[in-house]
Amino acid sequence: MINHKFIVEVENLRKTYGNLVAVDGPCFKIKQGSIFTLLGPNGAGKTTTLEIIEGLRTPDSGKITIFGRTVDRIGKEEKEIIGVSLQETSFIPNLTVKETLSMFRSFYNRGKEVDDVLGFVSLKEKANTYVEKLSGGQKQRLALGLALINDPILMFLDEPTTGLDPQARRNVWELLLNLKKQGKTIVLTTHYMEEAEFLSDWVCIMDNGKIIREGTPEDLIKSIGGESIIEVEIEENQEFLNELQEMNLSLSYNPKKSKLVVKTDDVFSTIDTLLKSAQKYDLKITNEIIRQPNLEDVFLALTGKQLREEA
Amino acid sequence: MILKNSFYLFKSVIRQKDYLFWFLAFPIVLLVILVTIFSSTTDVERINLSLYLIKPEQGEFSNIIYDVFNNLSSGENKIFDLKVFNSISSKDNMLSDLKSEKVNGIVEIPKGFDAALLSNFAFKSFGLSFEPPTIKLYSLKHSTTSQTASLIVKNIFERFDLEFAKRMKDIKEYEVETEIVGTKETFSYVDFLYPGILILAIFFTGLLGIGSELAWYKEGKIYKRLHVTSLSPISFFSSFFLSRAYFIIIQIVVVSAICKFVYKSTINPFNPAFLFYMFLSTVTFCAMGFFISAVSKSANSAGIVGQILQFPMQFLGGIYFPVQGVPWFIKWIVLINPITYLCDGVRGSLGIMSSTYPKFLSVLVPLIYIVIFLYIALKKYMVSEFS
Repeated sequence: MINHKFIVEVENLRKTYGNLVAVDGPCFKIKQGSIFTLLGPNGAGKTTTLEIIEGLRTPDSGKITIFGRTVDRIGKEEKEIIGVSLQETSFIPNLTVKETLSMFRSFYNRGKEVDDVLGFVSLKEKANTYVEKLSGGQKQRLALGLALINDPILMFLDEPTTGLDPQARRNVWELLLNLKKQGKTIVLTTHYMEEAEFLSDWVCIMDNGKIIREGTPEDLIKSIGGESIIEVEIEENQEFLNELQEMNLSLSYNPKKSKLVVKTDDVFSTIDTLLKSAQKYDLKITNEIIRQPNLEDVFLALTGKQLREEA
Repeated sequence: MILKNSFYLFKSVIRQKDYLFWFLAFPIVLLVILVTIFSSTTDVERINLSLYLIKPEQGEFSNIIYDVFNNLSSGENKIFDLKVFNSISSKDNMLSDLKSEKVNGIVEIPKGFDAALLSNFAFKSFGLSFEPPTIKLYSLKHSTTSQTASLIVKNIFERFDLEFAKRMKDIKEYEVETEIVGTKETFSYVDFLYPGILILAIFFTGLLGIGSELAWYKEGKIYKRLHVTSLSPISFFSSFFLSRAYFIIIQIVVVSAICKFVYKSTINPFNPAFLFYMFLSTVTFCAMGFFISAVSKSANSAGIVGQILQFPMQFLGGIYFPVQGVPWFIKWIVLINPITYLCDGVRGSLGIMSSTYPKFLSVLVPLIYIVIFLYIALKKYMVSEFS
């Protein structure tokens, strides 16, 4: 059993494609037995970073230490104890779930029993179903099962819940927490802040190939200050926004969604101020939400943009 | 591990109904259609010629001639339907039958033939020479069947190795086309088509099957998924090609069974030369499919490339008919087409028809393609998918 405090250490990783800098020198360490998350919007460089560590891409420069060994790229020995679930995976067609798992099991010298994995990912009833007949959530669970089949110490899961409905996403979260309980180290990428917040022991927020902030989800949220967030929808009016800023309110406005986000320690007084100002400029406030700050707000505070602009 | 994975990959392909249709059923359907059109059964090539023999008297030499023709007119492999006349009185009717193609030939042994022949032998021993007796052979000009009959008859007389046969005089209508008779006696379209259809089936499996499948694996990021496991690319491709080899074996067995048992092909499928060319075809077209998958970005583009290539290669490779005489502007396709050499090689080795190209070319050209295709494909895959 490998026992390192940090199972993966990454220093100044860099990868460019022509003029595009995909990964721009991130440094981080992943603690054994933890869930480590790379959080960032699409195109932030999460997947490229992960694929460099997995051995799918060669970095231009940088240092990777994995299982205590500094490597240029991971070899067969490391692959024996690593499990990977890629962002998009198709399966070999016309094979059943069980056959797919059995085939992947045969790639490794060691691993779990296929039936155990089927049970763990709740696909026992689908064991003899062809993979193309599975739903999105079941396919994602099968992808997790494939990542698990060699009983890995370290798992890389690239956006394992993207495209799933809320219930299927919750199911995957449960599986990941169970894996953590079994002592697996999980490296996760996601652009869902609630996923990172719910699962992660450590979060690295990435943007433009760089890590812009890292820490536990709680620490990251605390770092932006403010006890509450007020979200309202209001049409764009620059004078109105200027007036709020002159009142020293911490706010951001997304004109595409007409969404105003205000961070505050005094909810009642801030609401009062908002209503009065809106009335003054004859603006209508709708869809008011008062909530706790989250990682989305951290990202917004750090970059001035939202994690999922399309959402 | 390679063997185990090859079974999974084989299951994956054998469960695809469209795959089974296009790569197994379709070549068989094509075989049946072509054989039905060009030779309805194996018996179609048997020659059954109708012949009249006029033999007005008994004699030692006349009887020998009669016995020979009689033997050739009985049994399962008979050549002639023979009718013997002991009188020349109805000769006009016989000639009328010949002209109306009720009969394909008439052999007339003249009266006094045996006596004349014996006299000739006797006088020859004293150094004297007489006019030889003449056997007349009547045939119909512009009738291929009649000419074939007359040629066969002439050959029979030559084989008697008797003096009277050498002295036989042809009638004016008599024409000789030895090639036609030779081909008619031995050629079978099933034998011609059988190795061609197998090469076609293997060609489809390699070019259209493997090309698109491997390109789809690339498109679906299957290689990427495999690359993060401890499976080596060589192991994966070995398993994959082994699985397709199982399929090709099924193609060979099924097509061979149909050709042997339904169409009574004379080709022995266990002939080492036949098996060698089937193996060479398998490697050539698998390498070709591998190459197409490597240079195509998607399964769709691999399919399009395959479709574009398959038509000229299929029809200008000599699968269905000989292609030596095609016009010069498409001759180059024939010459660069590996199917041309594989078909020519296997047919030449089996004696179905004489080889157009030297034997070494039938092996060398496919080998050159194999080396080029494998080199480019492996290099491309190693850079794009497994670097």
